[in-house]
Amino acid sequence: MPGVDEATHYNMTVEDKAQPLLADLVDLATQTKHDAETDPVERMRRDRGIGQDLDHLKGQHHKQLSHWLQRVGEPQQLRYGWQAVQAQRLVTMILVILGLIVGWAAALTVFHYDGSRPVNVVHVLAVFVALPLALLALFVLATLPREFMRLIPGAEGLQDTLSLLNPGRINTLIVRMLPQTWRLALQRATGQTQAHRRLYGRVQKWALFHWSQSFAVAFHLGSLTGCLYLVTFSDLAFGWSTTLQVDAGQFQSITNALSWPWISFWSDAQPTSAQIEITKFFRHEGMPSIAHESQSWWQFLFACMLCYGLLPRFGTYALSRWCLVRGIKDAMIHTPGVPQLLDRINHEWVETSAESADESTSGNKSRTAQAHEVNLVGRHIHVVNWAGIGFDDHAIIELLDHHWGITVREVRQAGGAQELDQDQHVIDELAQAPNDTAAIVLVKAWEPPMMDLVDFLVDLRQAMGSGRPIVVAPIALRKDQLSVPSQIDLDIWRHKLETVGDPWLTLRHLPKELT
Amino acid sequence: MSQPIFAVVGHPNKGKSSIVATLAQDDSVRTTPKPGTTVKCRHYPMRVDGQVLYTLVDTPGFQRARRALAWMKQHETSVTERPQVVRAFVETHRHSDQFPDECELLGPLIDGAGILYVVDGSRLYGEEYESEMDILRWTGQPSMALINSIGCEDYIEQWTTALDQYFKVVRAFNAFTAEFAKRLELLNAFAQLRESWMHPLRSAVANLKADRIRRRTHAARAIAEMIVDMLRESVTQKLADAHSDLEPLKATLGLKYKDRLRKREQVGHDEVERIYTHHEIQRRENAFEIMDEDLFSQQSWLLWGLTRKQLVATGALSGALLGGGIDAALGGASFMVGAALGILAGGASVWFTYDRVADVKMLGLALGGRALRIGPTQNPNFPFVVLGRALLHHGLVADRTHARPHELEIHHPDAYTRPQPLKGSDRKALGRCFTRIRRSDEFQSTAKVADVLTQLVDGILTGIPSPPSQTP
Repeated sequence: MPGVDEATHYNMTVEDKAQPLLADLVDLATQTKHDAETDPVERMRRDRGIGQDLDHLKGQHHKQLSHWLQRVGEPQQLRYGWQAVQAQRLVTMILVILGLIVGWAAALTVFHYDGSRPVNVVHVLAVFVALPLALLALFVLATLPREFMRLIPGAEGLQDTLSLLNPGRINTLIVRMLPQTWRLALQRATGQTQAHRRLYGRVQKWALFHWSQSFAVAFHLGSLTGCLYLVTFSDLAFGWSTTLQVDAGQFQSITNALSWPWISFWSDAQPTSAQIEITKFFRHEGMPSIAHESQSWWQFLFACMLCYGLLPRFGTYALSRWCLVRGIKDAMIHTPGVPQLLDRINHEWVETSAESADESTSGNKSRTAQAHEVNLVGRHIHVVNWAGIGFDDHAIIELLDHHWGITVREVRQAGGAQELDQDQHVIDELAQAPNDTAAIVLVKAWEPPMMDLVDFLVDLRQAMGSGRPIVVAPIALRKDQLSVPSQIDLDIWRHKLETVGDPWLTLRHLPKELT
Repeated sequence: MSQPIFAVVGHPNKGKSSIVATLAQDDSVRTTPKPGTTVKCRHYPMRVDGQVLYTLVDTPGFQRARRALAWMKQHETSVTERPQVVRAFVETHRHSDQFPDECELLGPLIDGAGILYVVDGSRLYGEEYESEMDILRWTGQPSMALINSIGCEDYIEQWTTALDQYFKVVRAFNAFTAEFAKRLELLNAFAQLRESWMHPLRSAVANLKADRIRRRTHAARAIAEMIVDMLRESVTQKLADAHSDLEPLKATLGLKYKDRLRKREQVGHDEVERIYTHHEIQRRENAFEIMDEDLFSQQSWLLWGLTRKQLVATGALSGALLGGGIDAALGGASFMVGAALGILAGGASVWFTYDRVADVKMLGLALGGRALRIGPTQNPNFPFVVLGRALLHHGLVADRTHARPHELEIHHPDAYTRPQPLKGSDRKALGRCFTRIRRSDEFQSTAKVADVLTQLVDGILTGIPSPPSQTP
């Protein structure tokens, strides 16, 4: 179509018709493999969106997968499926033509009559009844479930051997002659790459049987057609002859048994005893006289070929096709990635994570300053009880005397539930204190240092001027008893105080060791 | 109806981000002992098929609560105007560097978010919290207090007494150990804050429950597929020379085989962690030892890869055909003895000449050869060991909160000497499953058995209580 690009045209074609299952199987494997490399969140979003549109197909997994493929498959990738189907159809057609030809030729050979002796009914029965029945039995053996075969000694090996002898394996020769793209597509379809051999094993098995039964149906159609052709357009004479010691009565019991399926509605197709008696011949006697009865054998033979040749093969063809479809459907559901795909399609997508990536912490720009170690002994010590540590003034004074050997002049309250005016009052008082004053700010080790405290320390430094030490002393409590602060808490306090950039601001925890 | 938004606020370093990580099931949330990690609000919407049911907002902690409250008190006109005063505070200081944290955390509140105030119940109550609680009360928003427990001590009762005076609902909630049911309980409690939030939150809880069941089923499938792969794992090496020394090759193959099994187990455990959205876990577990003395089998193979059994059947078939021909020639007088003898002769000859046939060459190409194969292991306890390890791992991961540190140490018991804690009926069903997996050749039968195994594992996962959680 001029003016329409190939991709659009392809998508229109795909959407108008449902793909055959085999095409879906091939494309599904390709698409899920491609999907494995995509972003999981995007994949989830896409598939859940498709799933919501396909709500009416809930429970119909194969249809869901087919629709999903049409929605997400790239035209290039979807070609493999169609190519595999076309290749499969071509191989089937070739096998059918081959079967027709071989069947026709077999009929011409078995029904050959040159006037020297009649067509031997025993030959016809051997080739078109006994042999097909034997092959049918082998087919049944070859298709029985593995678990069942395991119960019979030697049956497994026999089944493996029969699978090697499957006429459907002729496809290997035919496939070699196909164009490369079709050959590759077909190989994908039957999973001949080692990675998927186990997944597609049943598909391959029933594909082979499907081909073999296509050949068989065609063979019997060809032979029936050949038989009818000869009966209609030539003059055949039939008789029966065998080296085995079988009399007319025994032979009739065989023909009666074979005629049982159609006796009720086609009595002419059952040989009579007179017919059997008259048409027996022996080679040493030369060409027997041809009675009228010899010609009526054709109905019986035609009925036998139909009933024991063609009709069972229709059944096995239908069975192999049904099993193939089931195998394809099973393989589709179990293709790696498909259970997860169906889950994405059919279930609500619950998200709870953040909308955006976490920004890195700003961290205050560190204004570190080398803190000078302070000797507090002999100084005027003023203590600020920040945020209401659970000790009264007297206990604080005793604590510092006991652990640091210093005498506290005064304890003041700041921070916590105190008003800001109270903080400012404390700062003003400390600014008025003598020059050798040191301020100790008692804080809770387990609480993080807040900007509230940093503001206070900055304002205090500004009021006290440089040189006068300010010591921050984290206190830890465990079960309401004084305890050693943890290293983690001390590190947090140390890092925060370094950002204040005050060289006369130090951290000293109380006590160093509990005595 | 607008969907509910909850701002998680409080003092720095009290577990706000941990609570968000746990409720949002997101282990990318930065949670460190260092205060001030969160500087910007981060939104965690809970979506179902794109529709937001509720949103959690992680906020930075208060830094200058007293000053902020002082400013608000200065600008207060009446009690009814307090929410407007808070809004004015944010608008006035939004672009200054005086109250960056307060403006950031109050932003969602002035836009209508509910308040989840988080404190650490393992620490003493302190008067410094009162300014924050006053500010939150001024916003007029529905509020709940969550008492998190970071340390070992317990001051929950003290905190409850204080918080009851400020908040409509007070709940204890440990962000590190809260199992899934507890998290759902908390979401149900959120619904009490405002009537219009009840419907979306109930819908959210129902969806989270369904999602949980789905994840469990996924995990069961991942475990089942892992077991199937490990049961079927084998390594084969064709021998260049039929009489070469096997011992060095056995050692190499043995290492390769065990390495593959361990890697497959790692992949399976990684998948379970991914299913529960644990992307950052660094797992340390003791690798299992594969105890199976009969790992090796030497096998011969022929051109079409037929095994000895298959060849015997082929030989028997050809023998039968030959014998059958003889019977036919004898006009039936042999009573098919010829065919019977043919079967025996054909089968037996293949059995005894199997090895010699393997050495025959045709047109310079070897018709057959020898291969050394290790695995699959036939130890009947092997799959139970793998399953036991997987169940323990699953138990530690499934209910693990996303606030926990990323290191996960797992000590698997020596399962070869201690029996698996499984019910008798489960053990029998599993045993049958494992036997079928070992025997099945076709994928379809393996896939079906894998489906059955998935259901069994799912049933076991449903019934198993979580193992005791590790302390962070």
